[in-house]
Amino acid sequence: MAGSSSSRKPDDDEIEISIFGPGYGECILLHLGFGYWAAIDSCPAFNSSEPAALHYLSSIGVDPECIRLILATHWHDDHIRGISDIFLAAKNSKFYCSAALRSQEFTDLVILSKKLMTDDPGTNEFNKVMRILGERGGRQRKASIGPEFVIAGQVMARRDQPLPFELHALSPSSASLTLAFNEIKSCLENTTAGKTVRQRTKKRIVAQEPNHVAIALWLKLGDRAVLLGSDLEESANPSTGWTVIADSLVRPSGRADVFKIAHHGSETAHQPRVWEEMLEDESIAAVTPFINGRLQIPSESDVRRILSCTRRAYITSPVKTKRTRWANKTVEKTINDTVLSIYEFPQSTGQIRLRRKHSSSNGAANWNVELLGSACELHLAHK
Amino acid sequence: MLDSSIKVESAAIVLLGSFNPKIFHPAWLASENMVTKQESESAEISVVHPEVTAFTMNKIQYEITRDRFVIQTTYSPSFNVMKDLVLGMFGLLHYTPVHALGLNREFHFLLESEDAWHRLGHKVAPKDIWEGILEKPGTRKLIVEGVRSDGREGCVRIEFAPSARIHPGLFFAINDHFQLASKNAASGCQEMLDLVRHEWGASIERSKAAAFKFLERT
Amino acid sequence: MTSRSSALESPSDMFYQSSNEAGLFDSELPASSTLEETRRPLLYLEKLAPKYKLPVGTNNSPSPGATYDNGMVLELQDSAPPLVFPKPLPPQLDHFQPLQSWEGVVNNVEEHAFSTTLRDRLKKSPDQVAEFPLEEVSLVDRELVHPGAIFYWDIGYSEDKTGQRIRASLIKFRRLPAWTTREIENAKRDASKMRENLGWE
Repeated sequence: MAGSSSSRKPDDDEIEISIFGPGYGECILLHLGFGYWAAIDSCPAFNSSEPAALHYLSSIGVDPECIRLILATHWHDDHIRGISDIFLAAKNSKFYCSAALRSQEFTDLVILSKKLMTDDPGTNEFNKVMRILGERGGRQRKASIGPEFVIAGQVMARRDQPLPFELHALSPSSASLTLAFNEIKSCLENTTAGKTVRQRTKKRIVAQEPNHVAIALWLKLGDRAVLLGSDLEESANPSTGWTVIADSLVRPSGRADVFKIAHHGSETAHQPRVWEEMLEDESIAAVTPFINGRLQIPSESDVRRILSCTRRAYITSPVKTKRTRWANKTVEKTINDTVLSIYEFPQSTGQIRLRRKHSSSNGAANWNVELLGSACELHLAHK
Repeated sequence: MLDSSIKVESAAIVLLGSFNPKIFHPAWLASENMVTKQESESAEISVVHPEVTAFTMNKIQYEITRDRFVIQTTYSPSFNVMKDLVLGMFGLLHYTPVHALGLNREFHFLLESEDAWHRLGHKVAPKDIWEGILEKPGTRKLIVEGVRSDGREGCVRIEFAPSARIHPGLFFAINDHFQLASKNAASGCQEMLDLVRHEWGASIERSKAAAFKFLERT
Repeated sequence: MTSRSSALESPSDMFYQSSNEAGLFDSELPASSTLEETRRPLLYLEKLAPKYKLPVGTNNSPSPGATYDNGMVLELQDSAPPLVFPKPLPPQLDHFQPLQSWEGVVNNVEEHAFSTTLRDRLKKSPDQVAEFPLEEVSLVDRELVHPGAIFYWDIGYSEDKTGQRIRASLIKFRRLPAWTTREIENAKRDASKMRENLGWE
């Protein structure tokens, strides 16, 4: 790959948005100019346990210590696998997460899952992050150890020079926080108490409804903007989800010309007002698929809906499943006799990379879109 | 190919420490949800006594004396069940002092021919040195011990012998032995639990790989 | 040859001897003994009662002067109390030839099926996402099928004691005892310490 354009690191005055989505999980890497990188969520690189973010930075010759900001938008395990490895490598970074996790019950859950006699990717990643924070904290005042807790309306990071940017959190709303606190509390109660055998047997802690606390972001780059939707879903509750963001009086003004579509393009994350009020016409839309056996998002109807909003839509990998070819025919026969369905856990090399010079004029047309690995145009997602 | 030459394989977890054999009863395991009621009721109990307890339950053999706890099975789907049982039992009996842990594997390999069997025996223990001392010398048993490569206290001991179960067969046993720091009653068995939790899977595979490597070399 | 008492410091000697040297054990039995009787140590002890008796209120450490015949029968050299510990040895052992083995986590449960993520225990194949009918789960394990529950799935050939070979697909749910009050209190204490360390409290 040496010498090819895909292995060129961005120029100092070049903004980059790289979106990785292997089919389970996603990661967004931002270059905000002059070697300032930010990582949002994490997923493994193809055929590797190394985070995609670190793998990519290594391929373009960027030191991971250039990562200054790491955000876990929520604690669903598909979004944070390997995030502690990024945090460990990025020695100068600050770690951000939802304010919903600043609760006694959540840390109790994290510690309990560490003591569980099995791997638990979601809470284990947080456990490792907190350990790293504690180790780094020895050199700092306790108040500044972190993590930094994020709530709607907060400006997470900003810079005026040399290339100005502001990173705003659009969620979680206070109503979402309350829901999240209650969900974590009941998760802890279900884990530790119970009358039936099923309730009492130790098992992995599974977040049931984490998406209403996902952190959606508004990245202001001068007079332009990018909307990163995370997994935030719309809900019937007007105090949560996208409606409350669209209604918000404190959200930054303006329209974005790039939209990382929320929750893998699903219907449950669609709010027409986002397209009508927060995005430019024909803005660039990027989707990461979610493929979990027979559950595959975006569906064909999701694809049609997105394409009706913009024609410039891309996906990090096609929405398709793959079956393993078992060398042993007895194994294959027995599997087929036993299961209703079986597919390989999705892995792909897909990356959507957007780059533009900071000084270039407004509009989606000025972004250079590269589809690397298995990434493709969205209309080909189900072909 | 080597997988199909395994005719018998077993795994065992052996603890040295201080135990109360009477506690370990199928009914106790069922009451703590570590086995089902049906499994405990169908257990074959040999003895439950303050000095020794022995029973077999669901293809797993349990043998406990005052200073030794052994759980073993020849049924490979039960290998991880055994690990869970140890974690479960000693998670509850966390105060039990345990000062040594053995994660053990045994294999009986069927060799392709009697010639191959003899060749293996000669390669591992050449017989020339016995000329004039013994008539028709044959290898009865060979034990070799090495230090641990992970820096922990303990050793890895391998025993090699003609199989007493199959012919022509090779018996190959690996004792993955950990000497624990906990030596007094106050320290309990947390170190053992952590080792079983983190090392069991790797030890199982390591031992099998070692057996296969040995066979390939001979 | 080293003294057996020091060799028994290795935790696995008792086991080593049993599964390979069945013939030797058999030859130690009284002539009238059947293999079945060897499965019942107490009965065996009764037959040899004049010579041996179970110690009461002593620990089982072998006395320094004792020697062991393959770790099974203690021959007295002095009047120290013996421990007779015969190892029952069935004529045919349970055997399973594994072909594929996974550890799975339940993601979702519906009325008649549950979806899972499977991890190859030998890491020889990619992770899988699979959906199983609930009928594949033993009745006694059905109550454990719940999001987050962990299970083992083994495919292979099972041979019973008669040597009958059966192709098998075995699903077994992990059973770990519930969190105890002590574990929960310890976890809460550790969590509190962590929050304090991070300046949250």
